[in-house]
Amino acid sequence: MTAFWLNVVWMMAAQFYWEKDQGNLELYFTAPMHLMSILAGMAIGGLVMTSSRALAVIAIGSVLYGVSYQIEQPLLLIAVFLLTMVPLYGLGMLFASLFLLWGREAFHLAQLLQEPIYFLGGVNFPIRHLGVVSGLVVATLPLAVGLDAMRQLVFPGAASQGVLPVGTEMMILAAMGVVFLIGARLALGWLETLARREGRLTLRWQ
Amino acid sequence: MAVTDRGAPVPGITFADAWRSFHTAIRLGWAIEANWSDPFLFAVYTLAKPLAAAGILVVMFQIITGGQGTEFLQFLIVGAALWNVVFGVMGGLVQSILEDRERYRMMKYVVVTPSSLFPFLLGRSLARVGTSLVAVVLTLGVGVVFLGVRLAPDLFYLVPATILGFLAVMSLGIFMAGWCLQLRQEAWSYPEAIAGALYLVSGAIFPVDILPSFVQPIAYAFPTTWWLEASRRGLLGHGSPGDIGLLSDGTVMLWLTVSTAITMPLALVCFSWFVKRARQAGLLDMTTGS
Repeated sequence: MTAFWLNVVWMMAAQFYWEKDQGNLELYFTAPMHLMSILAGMAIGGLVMTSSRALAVIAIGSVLYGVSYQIEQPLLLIAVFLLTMVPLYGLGMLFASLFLLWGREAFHLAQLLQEPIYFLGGVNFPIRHLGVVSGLVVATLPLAVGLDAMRQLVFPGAASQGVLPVGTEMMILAAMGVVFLIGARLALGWLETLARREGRLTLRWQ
Repeated sequence: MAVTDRGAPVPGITFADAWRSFHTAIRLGWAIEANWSDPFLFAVYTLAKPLAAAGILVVMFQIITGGQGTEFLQFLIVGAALWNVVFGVMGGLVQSILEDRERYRMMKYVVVTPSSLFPFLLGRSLARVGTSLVAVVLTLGVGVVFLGVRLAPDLFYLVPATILGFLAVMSLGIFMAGWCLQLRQEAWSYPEAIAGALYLVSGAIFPVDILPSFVQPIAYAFPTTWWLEASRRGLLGHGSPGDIGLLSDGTVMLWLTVSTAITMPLALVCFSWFVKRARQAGLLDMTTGS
């Protein structure tokens, strides 16, 4: 899941900022389509590309380190995975507008969204071990909720390590998906208005 | 368009030119790295990343060992703390050279000034290296304050080990910077990939003995392994668990010296060749859009 998070941070959140640096952003704004369509295309492309990396990691982990899985409900696992991707990339779209707004600090923000999020998102350990913080994390970070739910479905005996039952976490993910996508649409609209009014679209390195 | 090689040495390239280039580049590097960001955000970024990385290691350690094995925890904290320098140096040097070529597109202007690219590059990357030193102090501080890591610094051992280790890591970074100048795509990812690979083989978070037998000679060939071992002895008063910990302090320092003495000139020669090749192939003003 680290691969997907990195894809969201570098290829979604920071994407418009890089495009501005390369002089492409004004073309996006003047094209007869919504910015979300561009980001959605990038999300699907990124999802497919990143899946190959994630599958390679799973294969290497299984072969070299002997990681074993016990998947009793594969369809449910796929559903949880897809449900995780919606708010995850929705968050990336929301960040895309914020990164563009914050300009030169984009690189720092992208860095800030790595190790701290790995820590809070339970990428390297079950978030249950974070104690009371885990409740807050589950309420805000789709990566953490999705990981927690998928671990419960993939590893034997991991259900007792989950913060919440899988069903509840799926509902949280669905709600996050709606919130982040609406938030991204509103933020992009606001950003477009702001950028046109202040003439920031063509200001490179700002 | 390719930049042709100068036929003869340009007169006027003096130590003073190099020094001016170096300290101007330090100011520029710091401006890019810090001042153009919101100071509060920059401080948060500087502190949050190493603290979170240390937090990940500590929680993983607590889960795996159940809070036992404080000796190994000390090994882990020192290794994780010092590795920030490797990421900082490699990332700093490579990002500097790529940013100036790809993003700000001023590499060619640096090359045509009456100075060498080398002092400019060193100065330009120092801000990121400095930030990584903050991360080292923070991670060690977390270890001491919250995890009971007991430091027993031996400055007579630690200072030369740090100087040699820093030279070795800078040499690796300089090599990487020259190498990345040759690459057309995804050069940005190389420092992290190489530093990540070295992280695994240099005994940063687990002893070298645990590695497969065919990887161990590679581990011992890199100065980073000896630097970490010497630093642990200088900071903690004892070596790592495993075979390397059984060596005498003198032997570890000797290997650190030898490996650094080989790495440094090799890296400088390679960097010089890489820059020459980049000039001949027209890579100094190339933008890949990556």
